[in-house]
Amino acid sequence: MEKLLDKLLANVDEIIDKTEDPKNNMLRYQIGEAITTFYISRKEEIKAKGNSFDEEIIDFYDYKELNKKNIESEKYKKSSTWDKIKIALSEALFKKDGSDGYSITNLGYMQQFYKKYRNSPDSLAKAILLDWSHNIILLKDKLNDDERKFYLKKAIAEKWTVKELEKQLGDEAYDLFLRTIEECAYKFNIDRVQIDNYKSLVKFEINNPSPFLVFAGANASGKSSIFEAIEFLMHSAMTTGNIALDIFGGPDKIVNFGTQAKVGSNKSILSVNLDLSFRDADKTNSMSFGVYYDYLTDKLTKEFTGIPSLDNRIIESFSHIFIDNYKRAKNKIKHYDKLWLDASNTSKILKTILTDETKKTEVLEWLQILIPGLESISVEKDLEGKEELQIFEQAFPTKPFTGNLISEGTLNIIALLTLFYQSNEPQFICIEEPETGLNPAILKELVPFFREMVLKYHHHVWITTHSVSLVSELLENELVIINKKNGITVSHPCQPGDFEEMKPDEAWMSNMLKGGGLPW
Amino acid sequence: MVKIGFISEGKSDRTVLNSERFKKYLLYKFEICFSEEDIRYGGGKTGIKTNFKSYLSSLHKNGVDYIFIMVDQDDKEAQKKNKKYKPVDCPLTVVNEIINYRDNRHYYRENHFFVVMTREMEAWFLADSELKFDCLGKEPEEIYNPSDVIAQQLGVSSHGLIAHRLKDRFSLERAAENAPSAKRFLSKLQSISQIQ
Repeated sequence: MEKLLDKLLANVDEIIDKTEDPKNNMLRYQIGEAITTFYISRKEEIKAKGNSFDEEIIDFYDYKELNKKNIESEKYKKSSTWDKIKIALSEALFKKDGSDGYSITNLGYMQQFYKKYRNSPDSLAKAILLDWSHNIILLKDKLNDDERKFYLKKAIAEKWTVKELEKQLGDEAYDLFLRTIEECAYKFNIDRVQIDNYKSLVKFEINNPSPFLVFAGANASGKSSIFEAIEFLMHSAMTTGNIALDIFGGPDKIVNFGTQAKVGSNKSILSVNLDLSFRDADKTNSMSFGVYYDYLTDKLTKEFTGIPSLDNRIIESFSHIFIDNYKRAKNKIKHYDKLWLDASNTSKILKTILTDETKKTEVLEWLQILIPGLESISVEKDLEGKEELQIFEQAFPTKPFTGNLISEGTLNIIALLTLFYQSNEPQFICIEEPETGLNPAILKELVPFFREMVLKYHHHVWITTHSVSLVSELLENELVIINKKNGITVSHPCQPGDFEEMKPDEAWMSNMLKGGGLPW
Repeated sequence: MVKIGFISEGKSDRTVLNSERFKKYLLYKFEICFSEEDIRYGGGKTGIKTNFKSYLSSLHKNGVDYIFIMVDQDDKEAQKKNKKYKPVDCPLTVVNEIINYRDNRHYYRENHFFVVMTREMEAWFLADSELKFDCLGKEPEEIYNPSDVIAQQLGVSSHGLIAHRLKDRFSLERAAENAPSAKRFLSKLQSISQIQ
């Protein structure tokens, strides 16, 4: 009969022999894996043998000529069979190697190391970079996955010593970090957006953008892809595996065609990164999160720096809205308490907003400015029990306008206002062509409205537009010109002086802005 | 290498000016370079003179050495109805009009910008013998609205589409044989070119 202990030792030996560097965390992980899987597959057998297994162990000590000192202790005699097997293994490895790297405690840590990281390859990659002593500390402490990720990142990024790591764990640095973000009331600032190889965005980067930003450019120049890429990032934070890729049409559709052709080189990676900073009274907390997809290996990885995982409140703060474009909104994840991409749930969200008196007054005030003759607005249940939007005009204060009686533009304005007032926290709002169905005069008024939303509620408002009226009200730092050259999207944030004392829309239309942003 | 820029009335001129064929011609024949970023659309003569300063300043920032202003001399029915409208008859009038507008004179430099005036750029298409248009027995530049003549013969009415169809077949040199304005444009290009 095959001897169990020999089999286990052979398994571990094989792993050690294959590795060149004996002090390697990957080796420790593999040993942990070998021992654990061995135990799982032979558990029943070991149990069945019970105490009769002791003889086999003593045999093993004898013919391997191992030190029997441990066997005689009282503690050993009380140990379980499995522990005795591990002690024997440890002794055998010690005899072979001569170092105490395979002590029984260390073997235990290796097993724990394997168990903690087997389901999170991203964290394992980081843990491998740290010293074993750092890892032992992280294994010892009762940390949840998010916390462990946080400390791993910080320890690597800031090159913490073992002592420092122990100190930070003692000080509960992670909780402190969460509290500062909480204290800033999630008032974030976008430091950088970087997109590589997403559709036509081969190398797109925008640094320290204005919180109110307008992208103008010809059709099919890649404006919407910018929003879509950010949305893709949010979706991949909310989903596991490669689901996000499927939601957005699959790798063949979203990885830049030129990049697909270059497969094999290290340039075949699609990536989207967003850097945010949370400003407290005296300090700034920066964090970045990104997603990387390798077209060659079909592997999607997520990177978070400064934060263990994408906090739900940040995901929820992001809205990408195509008003009334249900085709584009298809298949995307929907939060039940937020406005959907196509704004088809406006009535439901508006109802909640209207229960707040302050918000109601503000919404109504804006509506009265933008839609002449409007008296009030409410959401009531119709005969079927569905939420129905009702609008009252000054001319007919008792007869509500509902359903098809409400004009398309009015619905769009209401959806816009709903979007801004749906949350108490600052939001990152991306709106595709808000000009749909709106009068040019309203569009001019929307610019101060967006600015007020940024100032008052700390929202970030990014929009794409083709509207000359909207552009005519902008400042230089609020306009980004988007062009496509040889299939690649190029962005030109306008600089002070670019308008040359002309009105922004005239400057744009006369091809004065860098890159043009015009079809011809 | 000389770098030039354009200020044109409309966008259809750019289709020809910015075509690969025309850019290569400028480069190989005269060592003149021009990029799509060095054209400004004035949206009519009024636009050109009101925003002259801004156009000039932005073109200078791009490092442009000479500027050509493409002015149309067309005589549309709609324009005739506007009593104030007087068709311009000579490039010099246009130059005067531009530099006498407000403080434009301060920004004007002798021999630095040139006005190229034709009825419409379409007159040059009529003048190009290879394109085989029927000039109705007149000289190409004597036709009041050449774009209408071309539109009729091609069966399309969009100026953009006309320019798009002809941009790869049009030759400025052939047009210069029959159109004096094209000839003047060509000789200006020759005079600023460093190849003598």
